[in-house]
Amino acid sequence: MQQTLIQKILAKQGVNSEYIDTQNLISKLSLLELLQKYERYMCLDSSHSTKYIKRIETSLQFIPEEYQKVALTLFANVFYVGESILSDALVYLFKEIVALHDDNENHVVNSMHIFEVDPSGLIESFFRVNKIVGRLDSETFSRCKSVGEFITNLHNYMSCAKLQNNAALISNIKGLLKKDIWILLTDFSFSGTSLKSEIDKLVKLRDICFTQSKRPKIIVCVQIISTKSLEEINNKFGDEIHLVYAQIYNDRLRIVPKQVWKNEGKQLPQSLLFEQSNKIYLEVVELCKWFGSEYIDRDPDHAITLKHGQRSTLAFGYKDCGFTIIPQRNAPSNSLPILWYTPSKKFQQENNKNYIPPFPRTTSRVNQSTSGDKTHLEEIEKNKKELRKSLTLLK
Amino acid sequence: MVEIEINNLSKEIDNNVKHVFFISPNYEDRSMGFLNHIVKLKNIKDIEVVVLKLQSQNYKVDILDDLKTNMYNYAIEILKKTKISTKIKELAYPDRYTIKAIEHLKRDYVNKDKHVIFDFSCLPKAIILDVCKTFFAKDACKKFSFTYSSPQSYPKIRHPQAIGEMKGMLTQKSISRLLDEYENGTLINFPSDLGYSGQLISDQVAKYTDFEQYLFIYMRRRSPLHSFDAMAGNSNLLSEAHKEWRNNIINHFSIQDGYRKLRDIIENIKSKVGSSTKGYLVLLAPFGPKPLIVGCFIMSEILKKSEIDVEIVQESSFQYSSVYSIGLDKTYLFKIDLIN
Repeated sequence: MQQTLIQKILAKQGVNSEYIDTQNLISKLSLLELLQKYERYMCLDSSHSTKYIKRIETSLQFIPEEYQKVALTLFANVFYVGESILSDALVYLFKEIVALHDDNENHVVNSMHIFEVDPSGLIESFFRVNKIVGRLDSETFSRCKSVGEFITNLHNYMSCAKLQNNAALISNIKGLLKKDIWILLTDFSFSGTSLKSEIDKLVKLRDICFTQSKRPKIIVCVQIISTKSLEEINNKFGDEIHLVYAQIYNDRLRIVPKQVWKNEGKQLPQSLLFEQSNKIYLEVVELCKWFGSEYIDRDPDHAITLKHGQRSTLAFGYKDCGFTIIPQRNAPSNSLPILWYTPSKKFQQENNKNYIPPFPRTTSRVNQSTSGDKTHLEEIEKNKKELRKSLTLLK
Repeated sequence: MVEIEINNLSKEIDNNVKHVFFISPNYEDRSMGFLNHIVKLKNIKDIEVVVLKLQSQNYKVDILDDLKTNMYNYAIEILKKTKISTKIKELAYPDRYTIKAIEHLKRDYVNKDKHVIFDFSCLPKAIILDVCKTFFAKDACKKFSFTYSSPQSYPKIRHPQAIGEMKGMLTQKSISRLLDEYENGTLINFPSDLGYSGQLISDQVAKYTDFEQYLFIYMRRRSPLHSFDAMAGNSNLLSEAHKEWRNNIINHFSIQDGYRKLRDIIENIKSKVGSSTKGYLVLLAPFGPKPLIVGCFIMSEILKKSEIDVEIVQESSFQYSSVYSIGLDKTYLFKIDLIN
């Protein structure tokens, strides 16, 4: 009988049934197979198998023999988050917001406006799963979906006299100013970079548009957050905002080398992964270092991201987050690249080698360019007094 | 049932009201969770703590009993040091236990002017349900709250703790007999981390094609790893749920969230079934965190008011052969709205 690669790896010296048992490999891989059977990873094209075990085998072929066992163990320790979990997380978040307001759902619905970080349909899902009607009624809900759009609207209103009579623009701004609750919605926050920047802008906008006594409450809703991000947000904004999240991934679920903990001013925590085996944890760190030096750090397509993240390697994901979380929609750059990285054509040509990850990622930010919101916001802040006076007429 | 942040416990304590707290130390670290918060209460006048000691004559495991006695003595010592009025009460359990024991607790320590806080962390399901029946009754007490402490983890090697047929906690009938009496219904399943009890009840109900099933998956807010472990323990059940009734898998992120989502389902059942539908049974199977047993009890009362038949499923209990949980994670406080 022909052995599969995984069978060969497991049959090799050092990988005995005790290892399989203590690492709970069969149960973990079976669960991942099950979760993906019913909620298929969305970034797979026709060349990828829908069977997780097959995709792992493909990935393992590109990994040297000495790392294959630990790579297999890593692939069994993925947190696969299906859309159904995220959808129920939206229900949780809404119910938490309602609970913050004396369980008065009508009051919350009538008083809220929802912004989304990097809009991708989450607002629509939020309305749908929570059965909130009237999403498209512009009199009830402003069409402004992002903080960036709000900045653009205000900038246009401020800088162009003609636009001050534009009905659509006025309706958008008015719709926001009459609300008591501003909700900032996002799916994930791992490094905290994007979310922190969006909250910062929203807090500034609130201070521009309102006096201290009349300002709306800002509630930040995150489906999945990391402790790293939560700590940074709490440190920066404190009581300025309310933060609600459905699930949190703490530092003990990150895979990063000792130096990273040192840079973050933290002690190396006892990992919860790999059945708390420190030996395997360190082996996975070595595997990721190898992967970084062989692949992603040498890929010209990732050079800008590497520079932007202000790190010396991308081996542990963007900003050294080192998670193994894979949402059904797309792998985040904060998770370990060995799980999601596909070499660019240029890299393949130059190095004559390839890698096929188990969860290929569709990159949403390639050149890390910014939107220009920051400049617009600075201009708005300079004219804060006049703008606030003018906005008073709209309230 | 509303969760109150446990650190706000002192705000829940009204100095014009008398308070009775019931704790039940056993061999689990988490049985001390509520006590840790009681001793932090300062400048509170009327508090009495009743320390319950559950004692079995027939099922004795010496090492565990020694551990339990140590914890029990430790709790009393701490309470005495903090000069909190302490009463001690032994309850026979599981042998010779009846609801009378709880009714006597109420008679001896509680009246309609007192605020009761029960620690449910280490109490058996049957006792929790009897506490609900007794203390949620009209004028039983002024206010009722309960606490629940979750453990840090569960032991890796565990032996089966439930053997035999499942029974209904409200009617005391065996579930298989009960199911034969009904044509259709709904099973709402909160599986345990181990996976066997949820699977058992689901298999029993699956024989009846007109039974709808809901499977609640506890995606612990602060412990995703634990959630995935529990999902692995229930992977067979999860697989069947996806195949057969995929829209009825509900992920909840906190105990409170589980309760809220349960309440929504019950409201849907009420509007769908109505009191005119005879032969409809709602089976609630709370094998997950203990506060959901209270949630299920409240829902059973709501369904009964709507004349819909309901039963709460219990696995047949058996003495644990190992420590049941390890460590103490977080203590939760829940307030019950006794009027509604």
